[in-house]
Amino acid sequence: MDPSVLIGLLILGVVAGIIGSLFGVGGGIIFIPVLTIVYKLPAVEAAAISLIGILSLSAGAASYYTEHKVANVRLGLYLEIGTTIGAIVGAFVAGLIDQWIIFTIFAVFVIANGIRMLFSHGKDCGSTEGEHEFYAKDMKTGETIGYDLKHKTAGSAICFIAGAYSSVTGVGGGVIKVPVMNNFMGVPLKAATATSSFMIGLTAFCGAMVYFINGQVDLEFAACVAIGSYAGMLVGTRISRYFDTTALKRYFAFVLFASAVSMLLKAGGVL
Amino acid sequence: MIELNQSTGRTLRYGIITGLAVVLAGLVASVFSGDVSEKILWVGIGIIIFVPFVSIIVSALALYSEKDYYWLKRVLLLISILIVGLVVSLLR
Repeated sequence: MDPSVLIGLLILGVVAGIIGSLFGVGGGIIFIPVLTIVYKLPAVEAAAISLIGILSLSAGAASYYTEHKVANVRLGLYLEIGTTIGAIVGAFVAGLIDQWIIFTIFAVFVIANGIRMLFSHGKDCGSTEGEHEFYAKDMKTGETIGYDLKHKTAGSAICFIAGAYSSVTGVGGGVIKVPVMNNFMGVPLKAATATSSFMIGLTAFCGAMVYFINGQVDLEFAACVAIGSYAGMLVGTRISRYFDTTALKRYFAFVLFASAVSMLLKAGGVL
Repeated sequence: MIELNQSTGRTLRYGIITGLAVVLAGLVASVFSGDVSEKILWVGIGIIIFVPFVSIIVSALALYSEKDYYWLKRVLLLISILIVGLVVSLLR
């Protein structure tokens, strides 16, 4: 492999890893545009590599958040029932869809995520008093926040969509899962973000497994991205407690809009 | 008793580090030999991909150890779905 390509992929992984662990997303919204536009990879190949980068990031972030009792492992595994079914269906369907459709779906998805980042402040859920079904540690304040789950079955059903999106577009689905857990199911935002980091890896596993078995993964590209995203995750998880992520999200939203425009131009054959 | 969060977290951490060490060895090997590096990379990427699945198995064992059968049933359902998906992919 050309050293410049190797270094570029490592840097891509690091940036996606930092952003993914700060915002509870998988990094696919960074991987996909760069892999398709800069490296000119077909959509399916880019999705496969993106999922492996996401797996690496997610496993690292999830191990940190689960060991520090921020992520809700029980809830994450439960929601993965719907997500997994969606991811498996999505991986099979992805090979049947024209590239421009995949790029367009991805662009719409990224725009929706950008709008959410601009206008959503997250919902205050949970309490530091009384007895609750679950508890999560706030890494910044050290407090333990208790919360009770609502709409479990409906939440898992909505996660089917997150799973299908993950496999078709190569993103982790966190941008659907975090709002579902926080706004709909009553999970505190930081616990929802941490749980999403745990779930993203499981979702990415389903799609990546299908691509890997079908021989659709460029191993060298995937290796570089996986190493870079784990390194980025190490940085992101450690600095997350020092950042006001609300302000960061606003700036990142404009990055997402630019990414969506480039994907639409790619879909239209301009790029 | 196996504690859920600690056991799941450690499985993910040691699993992903193992996978990344193997892919790193594969990238280094690619400088010297294409065939060998391809095989090493394939194993390493395979480990990275299957780490989350192994963590689910460990979570199930931890839930069984904690006698938390409500959530254990749901995790067993998830494992079943994953295995069905894997088998269907292999048969295709």
